[in-house]
Amino acid sequence: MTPRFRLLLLAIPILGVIGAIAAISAGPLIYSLNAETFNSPFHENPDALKTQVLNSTDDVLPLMQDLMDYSGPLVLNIRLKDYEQARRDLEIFTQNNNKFRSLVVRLDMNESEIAEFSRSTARQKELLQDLANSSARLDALQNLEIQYREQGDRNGLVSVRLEGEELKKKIHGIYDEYKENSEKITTTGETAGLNTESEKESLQEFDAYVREIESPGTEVYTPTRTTQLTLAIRPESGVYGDRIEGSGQLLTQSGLRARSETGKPVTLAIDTVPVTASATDPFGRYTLNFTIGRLTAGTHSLYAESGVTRSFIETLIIVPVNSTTNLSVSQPDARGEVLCTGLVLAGRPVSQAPVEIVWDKTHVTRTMTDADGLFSATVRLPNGTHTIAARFTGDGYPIRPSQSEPQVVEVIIRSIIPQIPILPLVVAIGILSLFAGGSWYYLRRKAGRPAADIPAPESPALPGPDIRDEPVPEEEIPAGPGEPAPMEPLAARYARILNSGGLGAAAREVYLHVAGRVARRLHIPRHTALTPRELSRSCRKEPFCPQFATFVAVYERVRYGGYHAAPARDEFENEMKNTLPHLGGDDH
Amino acid sequence: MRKKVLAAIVLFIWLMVVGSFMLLASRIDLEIFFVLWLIGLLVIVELMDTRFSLPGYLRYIKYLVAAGIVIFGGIVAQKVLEILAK
Amino acid sequence: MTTIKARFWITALVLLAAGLVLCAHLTSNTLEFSQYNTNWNGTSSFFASLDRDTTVMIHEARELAPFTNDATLLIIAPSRAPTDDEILAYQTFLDNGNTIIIADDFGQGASILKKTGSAITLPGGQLASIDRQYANPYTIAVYQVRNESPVGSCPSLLLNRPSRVEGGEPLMMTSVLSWIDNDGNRRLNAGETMGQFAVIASERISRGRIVVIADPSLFINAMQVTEGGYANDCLMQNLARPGGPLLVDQMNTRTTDTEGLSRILHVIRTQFIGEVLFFLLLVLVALFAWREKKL
Repeated sequence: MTPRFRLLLLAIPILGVIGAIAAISAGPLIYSLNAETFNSPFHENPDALKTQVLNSTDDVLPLMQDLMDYSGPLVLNIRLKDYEQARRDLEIFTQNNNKFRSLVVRLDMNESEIAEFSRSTARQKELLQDLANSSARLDALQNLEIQYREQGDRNGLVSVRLEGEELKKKIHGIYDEYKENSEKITTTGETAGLNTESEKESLQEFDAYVREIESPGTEVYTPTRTTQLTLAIRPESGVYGDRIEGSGQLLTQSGLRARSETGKPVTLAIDTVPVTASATDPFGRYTLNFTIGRLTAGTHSLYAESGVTRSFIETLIIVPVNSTTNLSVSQPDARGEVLCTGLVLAGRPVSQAPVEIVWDKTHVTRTMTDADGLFSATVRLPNGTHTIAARFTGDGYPIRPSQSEPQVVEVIIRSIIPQIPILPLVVAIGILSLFAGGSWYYLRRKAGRPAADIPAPESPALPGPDIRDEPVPEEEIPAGPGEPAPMEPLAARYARILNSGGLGAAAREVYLHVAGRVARRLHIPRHTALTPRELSRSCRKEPFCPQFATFVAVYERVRYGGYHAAPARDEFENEMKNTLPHLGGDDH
Repeated sequence: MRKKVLAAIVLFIWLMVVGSFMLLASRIDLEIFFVLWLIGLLVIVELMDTRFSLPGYLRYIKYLVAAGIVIFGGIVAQKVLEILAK
Repeated sequence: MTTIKARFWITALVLLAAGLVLCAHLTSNTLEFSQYNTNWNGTSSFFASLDRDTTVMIHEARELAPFTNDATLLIIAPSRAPTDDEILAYQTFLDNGNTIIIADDFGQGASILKKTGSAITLPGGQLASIDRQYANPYTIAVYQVRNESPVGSCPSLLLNRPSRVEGGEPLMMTSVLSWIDNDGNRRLNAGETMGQFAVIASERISRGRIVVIADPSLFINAMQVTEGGYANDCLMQNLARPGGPLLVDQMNTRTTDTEGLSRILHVIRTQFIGEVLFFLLLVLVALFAWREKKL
C-alpha cells in the first residue's frame, strides 16, 4: 500500500466526518436525554422527569386539617368576647390559609375541589373577621345603650338601637354565608377523610351566638318619640340598574294629634351612606328614588333620616346578574397602536365601571365605561402577534365578572430605516474581532523568546586562551551546498565565520559538522530534518552522548537564544573543545 | 516515544474521556466537545512547544489552533446574542 | 517485528469491540414492553431476572393443561383479544387451582377478564394523583391496603401512567387526593372528582385466583428500581418467584414484540429446530477455521 493510497483512504473518512459535522453544526446539541425522549403512549421516562416528591399525607392533608380545626375555637372565642385571642387565632388561620393557597398554586390545581376548599376557607376567614368586628361593635353599642338610658338621652338610645339592629342583621347575613361555606368545607374534608368535627362545632357555636343576640332577652326601650318618619321601599329586591322607590311620611305627635311636617329635608341612606335626598310635601309625604348602581349583591339596610329622626330600617336585597363584555380592535397603525372599543352589558349598559384591557395576558390598561356602557382605549403594541381581551371584574358591583373573546392582532411596524438590530451586530463583531486579534497574537508571538531578552552587545576580547590559536585535530569537512570542498580545518572555518558572520553563524557551522558526525555514528538518515534537541535525544548508549547533549544545550542558547556575549562565546568554545575529541576523526 | 506520536495519543485519550462523560450524562453537544477539544489541543501544543526552534509538526498546527480560537469566538458571540435576545 | 504484532492486537481488540457494539445494537430494539428491548421502555431486565428452573414460557394454550396446582400465569400487556381456545385454557387453569396475574391498563386485559367471568373490570381512564415522586401527576404512589400475595411485603409502589381496577378485593390503592384525568391536562379540574382508587385487586374464581395489576409499565426497565423508597423491586421479586412454577404468557403479550435481526434470534431461540440448525452452522464454521489453520 503506497503512502499516497494510505493518505487517500484516510482522507475519505476525514472528509466524511468534516461534512457530517458541518451538517449538524447549526444545531450542535446532538443528543440530550431531556430533548430526545420519545413520547411513549404507555409510560413516562423517569430519567427525563424532574424529581418532585409530594405526599398528600404529609404535605396537603395536615394543612387542610389545620384550617378546619381553627374555625371552632375562633367562633367560640368571639362568642365569649375574647377578641384578643380571636385576633391571634385569625392571624394563624390567615398564615395557614396562605400556605395552603401557595400549595394549590404549586400543584396547579386552581380549578379543583382543593382550590374550592382553599377559596372557601379564605372566605371563611373574611367572614370570621367581619363577625369579630361586628360582635365587638355590638358589645360597644350595648354599653352605650346602658349609658344613654342612665342619662335619659332618647335620641342617642334610638340611634344606638337602630345601629344595633343593623349589626344583628349583618351578623345574621354573615352566618348564612358562613353556613354555606362551612358545608362545602365539610363535604371536601369528609371526602379527604379528615376530621370535620371542629368545623361542625364552629357552625353550631355560630348558630347559638346568632340566636343569642337576636333573642328578645333584654328590656326593649321604646322612646316616646315626638317625631315619626316612616319609610317603605318598592320593590324590596332588584338587580343592577333597577329603580327603587322609597316613600313615607314625616309626622309630629302632639298630644293625641299628628301633624304633618312640610318642606322638611329627608335623606335616604343605604348601609349608613346617604344616597339621595328629597323634601316633604304639604302633607308631610316624601318620595325618594335611586337606581341600583355600585352596590354589592346581597342584603342592604336602608333608612330615611330627617334631622335627628330616623325611620325604621328596611332591607333591600340585590341579586347579582351576569354580564357580557364585547370588544372590537381596530387595525394597527404604523406605530403599532390599536383602538380598543367595546360595551359592557348586564341586562342594561354598565356605566362608569372600570374595564381592563389585557394584552398577551400580562399587560393591563385600565379604562372606564361611559354612561352608555361603552369604553375605548388606545393600546400600543410591539411587533408581532398579540391577543387582546377586555375584562370587567365586577368588583363592587352586583354583576358577575366577564371577559370578551380574545382578539388576535398582528402588528408589523415598518420604519423608514430598516430595522437592523444594531446592538447584537456590534456585540457579535466586537467579540469576533477580539478573538481574531487573540488568534493573530498567538500566531505572531515568537516561540520561547521573552521580549526583555535582548542580546548583549559584543564585548571586547577578554584575556584568556583563545581557542582560535589552539591547534585542533584536523577533521574532514563535509562539503556544504554550493561551496567548494576545501580541506579547511573546523577551527579555521569557525574563526573565519565568527569574524564575518558573527557567533550565531559560526556556531551553526560547528553544529552541522558535529551533527553530521553523530548521525553517521548512530546511522540516522536525514538528520538535518531533526532539531538539535531531537538529535540529542536520539543519541543513546554511546559514550559521547552526554557531552553531545551539553553541547547542544549551549548551541541552542547561542544560536536561538541570541546569547552572543563573550561569556557565551567562551562557553560555546569550551564545549566545542570538549565534544570534538569524543567523536573521533574516523570516517565511515 | 516521539513527541508527536505521544501528543496524538494523549489527544485521543482526552477526547475518549470527554466522549465517555457525554455518553454517561446522556447529553452529546458538539459545542462543548469542540471547546474541550480546543482546550486539550492548546494545552498539548503549549507543552510540546520548543523554546528555540519550530519543529515541522508544530508549524501548521498553530494555524489550526488559531482557527479554533476564531470559531470559539463565534460560539461565544452566538451565546451572547442568545442571552441578549432573551 | 514487535511493533507490527502490537498493532495487530490493538486492531483486533478494536474490531472485536466494534463487533460487540454492532451486535448489541442489531439484536436489541426499542419496541414497547419487548423483552429484547434493553432501553428504558423494554422489559429485558425483568425477563433476565426470571429463574430459569421454575419459569416456563407458554407459547400455546395447551401448554397450560399440565399445571394443576399452585402455578402462576403472568400475562403482561396483552395486545389482542383472546381466542376461544385461550379463554378455555385460562378457565381450566383457574379451575385447577392456579393463579392468573394480568398486568394491563388500556389494552385487551379487560376482554380477558370479561370472558373468563371475572367481576374485576378495567374501566379505563388515566389515573393521576398528588402523591408522586416526579413532577408528573401520572407517576403516582400507591399504598398497600391488604397484605396478600403478590403485594405481601411491599408497602408502597410507584406506578407509571396506570389506570384503575374496579371490583374484586383491592390490594393496593391510591391516596384520597387522586382523580381520573378525563381531559388529559394533568390537572384536577371542575368535573373531575377526587377520591381513592384501586390499582391492584384480586378475586377468587372457581378454585383459582385472578389478580389484576392496572399498570403493565411496572415491568419496564426504568421502573424496576425507583427513587423515593418505593417497593417496586419487592413486587418484581414476588412475581418472579411466586412460590410455585411461574408461567409467562407468550401467546398474547407485547413482551414478545421483535423486529429485524432480533426477530431472527427470537425464532432461533423459540424453535428447537432453529437452535439445532444454528448450532450446526457454528460447528461448520469452527471446522472450516480448523481446516484453514492446519493447512
